[in-house]
Amino acid sequence: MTRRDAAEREFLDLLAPLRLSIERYALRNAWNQQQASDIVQEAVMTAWRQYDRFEPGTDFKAWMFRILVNTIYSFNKKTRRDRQLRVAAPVEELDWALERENSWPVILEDSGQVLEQLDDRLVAALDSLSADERQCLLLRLLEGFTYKEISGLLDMPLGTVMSHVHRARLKLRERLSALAVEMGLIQEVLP
Amino acid sequence: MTCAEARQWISPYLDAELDRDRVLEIGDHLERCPQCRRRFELEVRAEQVITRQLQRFSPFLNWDAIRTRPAPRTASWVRPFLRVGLAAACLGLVIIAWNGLVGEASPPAVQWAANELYELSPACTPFEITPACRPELEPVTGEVMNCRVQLPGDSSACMVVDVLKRTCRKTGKCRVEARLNYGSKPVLLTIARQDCLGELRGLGRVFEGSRTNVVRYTCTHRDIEYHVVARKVGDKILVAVSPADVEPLVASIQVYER
Repeated sequence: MTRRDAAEREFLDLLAPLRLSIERYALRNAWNQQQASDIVQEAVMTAWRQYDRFEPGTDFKAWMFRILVNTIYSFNKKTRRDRQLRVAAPVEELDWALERENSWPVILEDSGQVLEQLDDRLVAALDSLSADERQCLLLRLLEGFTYKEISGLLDMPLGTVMSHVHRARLKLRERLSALAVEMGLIQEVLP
Repeated sequence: MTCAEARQWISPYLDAELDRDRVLEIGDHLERCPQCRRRFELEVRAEQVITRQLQRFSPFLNWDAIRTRPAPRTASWVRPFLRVGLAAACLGLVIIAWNGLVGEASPPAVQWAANELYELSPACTPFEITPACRPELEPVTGEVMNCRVQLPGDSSACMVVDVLKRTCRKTGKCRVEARLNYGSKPVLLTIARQDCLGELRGLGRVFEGSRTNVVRYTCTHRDIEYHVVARKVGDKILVAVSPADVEPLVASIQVYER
């Protein structure tokens, strides 16, 4: 076995436990499964090309996700579209979202029941977020990165990350409240 | 710390991103305020449900097929065969395109476009708006589109069309309306409802240029005949309308979303 083969083996071993996270994150940010698999393929090839720059002992997950995030960014730039365009009714005004938040406490009372019933729509509700907000929220909620780590991954000031996560939560609540009302799971609470 | 201030910090609190002093301050408030304590507990629980659901997904990737390097290039002896194959494919495409240009518009494409137009209002049932529910018609957010139709040879006749899907809150029935300014006269026109779509599907006339994703048909409203052009752009259906005496120019429709 050559030194390069050994390095590749080591790279693949480090990658193995991250497979599900990478796949899920790509899917949540991609247009469809095909685009998600293209993103993963591209990210893995880029990571292997740059593997000699990875410092052993540092966080491989953060390093890999930085490459993944950049790959997603390049794909969106190349295809000139972002997953957000898919949404029929994007929530643009935060004030409006805040107003609609009145229904949220009703959902909270029985969150398990209501949110479980929303099922796939909850994932679709992510589309109401901007690309930055979605990335910040997913990196925080799904991957457990800290604000500081996200700030490093996305090249974004810490305060901006904090505000994106906060706004993403508000918008998601608004969207979920609206969906729950629409589906008759709860009664609309007017401001 | 007031309740409003405490709730402002919910997001970083859930993420355990607050400094020690702030955590103590919030903890102090939560001890004194049962409403906020309950709200925080519920928020934590809701966050867990959301995270669990976002985490849930069916893996679809075949990781064994994911490569670390680009696929090896085709062997040199295969390349001449590939070139011949490519040339044959190009020739085939040219023939197909030529047939398309000189032949009639393809019916399946029209059927497809009509089906797509149906998707604009999937909840439609045979249309019946009663006077009682008329005031409650509300435009559905996000489904308002503008089409700027540049009429041939006369820029002053340019008109803006707002297309709105309206749903009656009482009956749940819906229709698609267009508001157009033609000259000084604003016209509100129902362009797609169950019977109109039926007409489109059954009798919709297909003109030149509708081979791909454009369909034209006529619609009568208060004894005036209108041309309606429905076009699929991305995953939206855009509709342009003009009185029948002026032929809308499909090629010059510029579409932008509000």
